Amino acid sequence: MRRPNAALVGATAALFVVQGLISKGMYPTWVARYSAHNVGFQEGLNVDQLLASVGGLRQMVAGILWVRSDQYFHSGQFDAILPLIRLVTWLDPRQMEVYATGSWHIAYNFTDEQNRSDRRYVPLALALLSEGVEHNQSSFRLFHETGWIYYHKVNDEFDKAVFWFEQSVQKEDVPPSLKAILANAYLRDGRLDDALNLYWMLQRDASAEYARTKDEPTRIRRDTQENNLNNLIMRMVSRGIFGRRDGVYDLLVPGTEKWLYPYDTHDPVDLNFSVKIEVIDKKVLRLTGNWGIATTGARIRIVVRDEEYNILWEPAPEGLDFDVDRDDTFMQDSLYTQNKFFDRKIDMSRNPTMYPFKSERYIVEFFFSPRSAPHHIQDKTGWDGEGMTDSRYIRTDIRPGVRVLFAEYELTRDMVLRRGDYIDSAVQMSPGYVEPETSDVVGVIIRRSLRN
Amino acid sequence: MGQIFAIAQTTLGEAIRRRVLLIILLIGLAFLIISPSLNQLTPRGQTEVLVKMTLGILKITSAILAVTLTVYLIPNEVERRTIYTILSKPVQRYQFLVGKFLGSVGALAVMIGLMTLVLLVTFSLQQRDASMDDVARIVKSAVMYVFQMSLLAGIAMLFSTIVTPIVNFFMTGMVFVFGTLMNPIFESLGASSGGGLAGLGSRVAHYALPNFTNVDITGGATQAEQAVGGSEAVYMMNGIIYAIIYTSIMLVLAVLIFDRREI
Amino acid sequence: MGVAIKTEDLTKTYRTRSGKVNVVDHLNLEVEEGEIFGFLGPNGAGKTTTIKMLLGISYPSEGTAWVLGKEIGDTDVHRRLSYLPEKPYYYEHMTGLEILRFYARLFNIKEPERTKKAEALLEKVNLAGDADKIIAQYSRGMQQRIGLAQSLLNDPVLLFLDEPTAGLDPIAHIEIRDLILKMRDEGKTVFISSHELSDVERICDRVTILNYGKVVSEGRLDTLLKGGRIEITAVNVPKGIEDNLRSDGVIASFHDGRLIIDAPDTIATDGFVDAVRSAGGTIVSIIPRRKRLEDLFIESVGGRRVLTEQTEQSEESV
Repeated sequence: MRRPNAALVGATAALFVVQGLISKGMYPTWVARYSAHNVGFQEGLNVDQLLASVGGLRQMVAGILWVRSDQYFHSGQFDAILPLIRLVTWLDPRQMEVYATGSWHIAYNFTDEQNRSDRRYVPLALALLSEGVEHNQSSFRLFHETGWIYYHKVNDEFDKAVFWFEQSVQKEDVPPSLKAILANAYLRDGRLDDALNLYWMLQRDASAEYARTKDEPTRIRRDTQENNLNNLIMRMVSRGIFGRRDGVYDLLVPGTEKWLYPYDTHDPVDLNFSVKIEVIDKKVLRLTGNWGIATTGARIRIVVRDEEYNILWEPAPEGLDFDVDRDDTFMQDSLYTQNKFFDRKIDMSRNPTMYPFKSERYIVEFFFSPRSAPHHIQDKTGWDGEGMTDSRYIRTDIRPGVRVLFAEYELTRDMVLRRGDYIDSAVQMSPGYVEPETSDVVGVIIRRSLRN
Repeated sequence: MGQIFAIAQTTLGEAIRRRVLLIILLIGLAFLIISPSLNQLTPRGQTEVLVKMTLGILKITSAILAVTLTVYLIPNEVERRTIYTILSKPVQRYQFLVGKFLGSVGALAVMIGLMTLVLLVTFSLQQRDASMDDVARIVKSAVMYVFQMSLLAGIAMLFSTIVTPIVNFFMTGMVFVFGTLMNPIFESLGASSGGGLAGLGSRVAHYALPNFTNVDITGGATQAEQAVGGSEAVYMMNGIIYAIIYTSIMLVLAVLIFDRREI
Repeated sequence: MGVAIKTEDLTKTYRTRSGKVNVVDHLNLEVEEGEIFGFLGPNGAGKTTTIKMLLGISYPSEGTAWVLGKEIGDTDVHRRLSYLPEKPYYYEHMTGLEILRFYARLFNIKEPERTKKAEALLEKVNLAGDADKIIAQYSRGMQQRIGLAQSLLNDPVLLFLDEPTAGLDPIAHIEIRDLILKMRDEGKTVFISSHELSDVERICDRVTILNYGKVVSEGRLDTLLKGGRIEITAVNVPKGIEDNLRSDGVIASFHDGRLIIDAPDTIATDGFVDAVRSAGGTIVSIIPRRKRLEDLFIESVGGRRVLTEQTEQSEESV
């Protein structure tokens, strides 16, 4: 019988200690870079999923499922997608693509016949993203995606977009081209100086990089940043931001009624808003009305919802586990204005799952915020609505810090369904509503001047 | 050394020519070829999903290969009595064991290399938008798999000196599963900061048992993210050194047991 | 002549459910250089275990042994000896030439000598024409010959052959036997373990018979086989008489109506003849016969394990 070689045993013991130290040294990096942050164990991953996920099968199963969910999407089987996304992200919580694309599907692609997306799903998309963010803290990707949903899909409550984009730009892996979006979000949140600072910093960085590399893509990027910066300065000047700070905004030429320094926002434009809501058929609305801004392109948000149901633009508290409540009605669209009026037909009759109309009373909301308006509209209204007025519907309590247009009307279920008292007609309108001057020529701007 | 290489070379040749292993290899290859065609419709991130999925298949196939290659390595020699013709030559038992191990690891490396090659070829055919980063990531992951599976083979080798092949298959499988989930479990227990006896116990287990997560870089989310927290090359190097050291420990233990064993 | 192998109370104990079993039980052997030594016994007698201990593949529980002057456990001595296990399988994917080159590498034999030696040995075992065939295509006899060839690579002074003819056809038997004799002529010591007595009988100088791990008989063959037997055949004998004829070493039984008496030649035949005659029988033949190894074997193992039975068992165990 051989005796163990003492030197060999000693060396092995030493190696054992060394491997432990290496392992210990690697662990923090693993946590920072490769960890799935405890997914499954905390959330009660069931036995099947655990089995499927063992031994590295996880990523593979997740990949297969993801492919399948994509096929469901393309064949229009939306209902099958949610549980699959749920499973995929359980299996492989590091798969950022699944969170990103999945939330995009959920927020954007459940649509009705007129391509209006189903807003009831937005909180689910946000819930999926917030879960993804939790598991992928070190990358910009899902912070950016979440910010984008607030910035573009919700297109309101821009402090939330700012919150997410600010985190996105701090990640090491964020491409420089995606940083400018934060400046846009600042602008919509009314934080002009932050936007200005950021544009300035981006321009400085891009110039420095161009000085170093001298290549075409960086030159283009530098030019873009310069453009952004210059545009913002110009807009701040012409909209009287600096003038207001210098106390010269409201100065008149002595002895006249003329402004000393004319600004775009001077002489606020009267929105002169009024609307007629006509239920022209069961679940079909026609909205006509007046709009004071002559410039084409302002969009007035319209929401038709159950009186007791409103969407909070926040992650669904249940996470992605449950589908939306199919009894709730929430329709959101926008009214495109042209030639100082709008005229829009909204047909909700063909999508009963999206618009069940189970409630007795409905609210119709009209909302216009200068913050999310296009630049040329903002040129009139200003960022905070200082350049607009309306005798009835300007509100300052709806979005603090901004003058917005807000009007709401009520519809009953009988009106929407055109029955009972409303079998012949169902109309709601602003007091003193006057039919707009319309033209037979559609799609042509007929104003000679945009000043009146 | 001459003896070790002679044995390693013969084992490599035999493993490459063994039909069962070829079948497994073919299944892996078939998977790799089929998988891209499953996935023609994704609007975004097709490459990302595909890379992860194929790496998953590669990992599973090579783990199965590593275990099946190793568990029968010694028992087959005894059953066929070739071990007696070898040990009655001026060959030490450790030389035999190490030679056998190196041979099967060599075979493993060749097979993983082949599968990776096929993967890259199908990849470049199906994914015209694949970048050099994706290619580099696949190659880097495959390199790590070679070391990860060598560690797995070392563990199977150690067990093969104690238990029968079937038992070994399950034991090694369990160690692999546990070693793969080691960091996640440890992290979820919050054990790195836990005090008391339980905390100490889990820390000891964490750094004493084989940890396959150390030799794996597929868990990371994106190429860009790999740069977070220091150089990836350093992390990979640490993982490789870890694997080599741990594998050596397994081999030394295997030799110590095998030296004393009746065959 | 020196001593090639010497064992001193060599013992191997295995634990079983019913307690400890000595598979090899205080074995004391001496094999001289240059002889063909037959190590005989039924399967399970402890032959292979003994060889494994002598080769350092298995470790003795008690006692020790010396091989070529070195105490067991020293693998250096392996340079001068070789071992052909019972029915080994070689790496089937390799050709005959490759196998030999592989084993040559284990002796650190360098090229070009390696290939030269391998080719010469293939020639010696009549496999030169099949050198490039893979082992999987070899017959059992060819595999056994390639085994012999590999055991000669280091030009050993001592060869252990474990059941070298097991499972071979008669022609292969003869070929292997001739090769073994050739080795003895070259001055090698050959240690053959076998239960195939007819082969050993023709080539062994000395035998030891082992049963249950213990030596039951040993010595030079000519001494052991001294003495013979007589076979008496008679007809027309009434049944029942054979019981009276049996005594120590005497076998009497009926075959096809004939009474056959098989007795040692030390017993006078007159008594048998008288008994047959008085019972009304007729003696057909009285044939004296030299003692065969089979007889010795059966005597030694006490008749409890009959040879044919053992052969069948060993086939099953393959």
